[in-house]
Amino acid sequence: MIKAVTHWFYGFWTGIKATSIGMWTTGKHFFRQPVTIEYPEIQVESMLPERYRGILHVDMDICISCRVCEKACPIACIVIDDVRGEKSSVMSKITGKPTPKIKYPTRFDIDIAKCMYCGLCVEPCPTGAIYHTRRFEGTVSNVSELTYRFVSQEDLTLADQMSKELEENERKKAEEKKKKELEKAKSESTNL
Amino acid sequence: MNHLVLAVEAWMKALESYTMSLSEDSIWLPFFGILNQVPQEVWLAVSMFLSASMILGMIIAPIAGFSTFVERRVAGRIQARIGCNRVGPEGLLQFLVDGVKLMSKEDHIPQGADRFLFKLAPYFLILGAFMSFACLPFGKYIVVSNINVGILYLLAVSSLVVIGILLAGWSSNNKWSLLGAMRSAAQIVSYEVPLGMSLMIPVMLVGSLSLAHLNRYQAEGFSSWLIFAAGPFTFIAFFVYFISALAEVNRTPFDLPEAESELVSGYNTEYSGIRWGLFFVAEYANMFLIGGIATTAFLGGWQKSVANIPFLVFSLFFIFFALLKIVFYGPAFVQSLGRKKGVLFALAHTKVRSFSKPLVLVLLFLSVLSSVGLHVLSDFWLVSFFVFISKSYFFVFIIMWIRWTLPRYRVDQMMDLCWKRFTPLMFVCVMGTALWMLWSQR
Amino acid sequence: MSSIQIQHFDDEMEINMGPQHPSTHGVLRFRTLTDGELVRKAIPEIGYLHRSIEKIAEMVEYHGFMPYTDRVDYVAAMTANHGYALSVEKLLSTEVPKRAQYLRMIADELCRIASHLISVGTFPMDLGAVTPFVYALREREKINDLIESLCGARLTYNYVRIGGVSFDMPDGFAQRVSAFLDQFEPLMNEFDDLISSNNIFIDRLGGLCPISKELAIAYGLVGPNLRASGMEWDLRKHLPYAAYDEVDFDIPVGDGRCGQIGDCFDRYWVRIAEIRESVKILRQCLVQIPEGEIQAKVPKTIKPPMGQSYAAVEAARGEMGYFVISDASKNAYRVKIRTGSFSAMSIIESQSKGLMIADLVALIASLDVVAPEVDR
Repeated sequence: MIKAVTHWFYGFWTGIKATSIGMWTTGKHFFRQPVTIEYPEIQVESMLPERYRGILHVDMDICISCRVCEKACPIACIVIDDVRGEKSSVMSKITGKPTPKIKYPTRFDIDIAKCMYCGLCVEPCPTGAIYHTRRFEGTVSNVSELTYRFVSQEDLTLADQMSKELEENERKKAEEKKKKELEKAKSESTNL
Repeated sequence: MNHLVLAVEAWMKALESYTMSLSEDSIWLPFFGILNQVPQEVWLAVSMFLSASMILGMIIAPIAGFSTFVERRVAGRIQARIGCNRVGPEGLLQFLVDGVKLMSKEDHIPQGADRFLFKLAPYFLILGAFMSFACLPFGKYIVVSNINVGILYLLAVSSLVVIGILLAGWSSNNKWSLLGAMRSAAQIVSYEVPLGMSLMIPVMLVGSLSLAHLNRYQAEGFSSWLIFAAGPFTFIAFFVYFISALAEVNRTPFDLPEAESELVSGYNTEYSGIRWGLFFVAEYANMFLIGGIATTAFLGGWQKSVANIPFLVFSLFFIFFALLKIVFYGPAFVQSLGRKKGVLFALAHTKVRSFSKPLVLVLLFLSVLSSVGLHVLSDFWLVSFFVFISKSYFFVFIIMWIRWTLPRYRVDQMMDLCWKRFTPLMFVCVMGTALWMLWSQR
Repeated sequence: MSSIQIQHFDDEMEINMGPQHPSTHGVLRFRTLTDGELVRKAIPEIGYLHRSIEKIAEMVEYHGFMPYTDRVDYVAAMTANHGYALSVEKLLSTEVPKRAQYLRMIADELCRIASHLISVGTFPMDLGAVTPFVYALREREKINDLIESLCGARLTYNYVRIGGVSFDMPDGFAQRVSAFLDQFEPLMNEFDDLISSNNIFIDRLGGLCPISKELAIAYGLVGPNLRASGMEWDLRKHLPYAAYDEVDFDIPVGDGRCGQIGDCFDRYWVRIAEIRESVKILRQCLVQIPEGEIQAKVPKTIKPPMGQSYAAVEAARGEMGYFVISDASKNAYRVKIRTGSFSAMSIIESQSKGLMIADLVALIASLDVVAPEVDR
């Protein structure tokens, strides 16, 4: 009986204690600096770390169209078309050494609406052409604008030019080879 | 008779004599002739109605609306974030914008709902909340109706909310709302018992139900405050009053009827637009009512006392803070207008830098000085009004602080608390007060 | 509109805690048959968040499936990555370098703290106190920032690779983590104080739904739920992977401190204690981490030999196991993911009899059920 009565009084004490500890803890926060970063006024992009996986960007000058990123993407949101062209070399950002380039992309589309920003395309790229920027504000009013087409008119003309050069060179080589064969056949026939 | 009513009556008399002078030779004779015949009591009633509307419309409704903004700000600061600070200087215009938004929403009534009862329910809540302000003395000569059964009237009128909540829950054709309404009805009706008993204690000590008499009893400064009048018994009664009143207005830790995580807002669920806004405003008006009754019955009302100074500092500090922000906001607002994207854009995108610590300390010092000055001038009726509002608003702030600290009780635990703890405690307190009174009279 | 026919008795109300509900545990649905406030039966319905992740595994290469494992439990994504990597490494019999194992451990423990913070944060929110949730999220933001500087993302990490990890620690990472842990411990104590000393919480949670050891094992509960019921079982200690046998930590077991063993308060308390243990592990890892490589040599297109493997990690919600069957092609034949929340979901129906609705919400929150793990 005594125990019940003391328990009854003790209930009030626990209630008061709980409320006051709670209010003290929350009350301390009135005097602390809030942790809010007021976004549009403060430039958040510069606060992001370097490795931040934002919207993808491709440096078409360095891309050698090896298609490793296309194969690595689990969602297949990268589409690449290319033509074979005259050999040139680009400076790889990763190794710092020149890398040969024989294929010239005519179409490099990334659907950034489908992209899940996993970074699986950035890792295997041999030259570092495709990389994540720190940009995250990609809102547009038309969803078709979310397919980024990285091949510009200059790249198309370059590809065109390089492929024509390759054709030229190959034709010339084929002609020379024919000539040599004819000569060889001639010399053989004269020898006989 | 108080000044407000006197003033309005004087205007009515002037109007009456003007119309009488007009009625002598005019084609409007029949109309003004009728006006002549109107008895004195009607003019009295009209003037009382106007003074009540002034208090309700110009004091209580803005306070209730402003409390919604204060709640969001207090919630933000407790949760280590800034809170609502976009619309207007430091977000002070938020509640106006909220009102406009709510009024422009679709008036959606659920399909199987009882339309008449659904529309009627918010009005009961508003009635219950606002009618109670009619007898509350706001200052030295400021009371709408100086009835001599004030406490009885308060208890009776604030019970109207039960009908409103039950109507809202039942007519929504929604099981969740029904559950919330049932819980709420049980809760409010139960907690009226400790509430009434805790208000009986000041009534016993003063010997009258009238709120004006309660104020007059506490006129001799801090030591005559009713909270200290009968030793520990009135002290306990004050806290029990506060907690029971929290339960009456469905605030945490007793907000099961609107338990967000379980019932998606309980009896509020199906309401949208300004109907929901009415529920919301009624809740904040009720909170201010709790503060008002707590100060009148226990903490000295609007009477002059040195202990008023902390409360005055509390409210003056924030008023100066807001004023300074408004002053700094002006030029920044005009600059935002110059971006030529419209007034609403400028309102939402103007931000004043936060004040440095020294400036805050200067504001604090200024508010201490001015509250001491106000205390000295306490005989002026406007100052007593301000004292009352500060004290009541302090309780509103405490209620908000408690809401963002404590979790909510389960239904049966809450009923336990009422019937097994507070009611016996109040029996003890009432008897103790009676014994104290007898002993101190010896 | 459901496939289960329920026979209603006369005075029974069927209340639908529908897929859209403010209790933030994802899209779960409970059809509760109640008698006023008392619940007679709570029938769970799942599948609202089913995204066919296991089927997608059959169409994507082994490397490419890694981001999908993030989405199996997006609250604690690192451990999900880790489990999949362990399973495929078992198939390939690759040896993961020591530094990679330590990095995986660091990432795992950070992730575990973040996940438990969400769990102990949403738990009071379901009971009515909104503030602890915001405090927990404030700390989780700091962890998110740390992991963001490590791997570049804040929720779906894709950090672990088959054979190692993808990035090494950036400069100053160890110092930042230590600084975070130093300021985190007092805040954690403050948070715990706000809840554990509050008699409203103790009244509502103490003695609510005690789950005995035998019942927990019978239903297949794992993780903190199992440990709260008194069973001392932690994969990190009893079947250690990734260098867990080189660090020193305890396993908190529920002891009925505010009621009975295995009640809701125990499940909450075990998670708080586990956060403190994770802090201990992190501090040791940062000191002990060796130099070395971060990724073993694994071919770009994996074609493991024919066979099957099962590997499990101790995720935040219990044992997360990956059963991978390979048929020597570049896609897996079958990947089955075993998650802790699925078993926790199944125990709710049997335990819900006789509770009030408020208690049902508390029970679901204390079992830490997240919808993506249940539905995958």
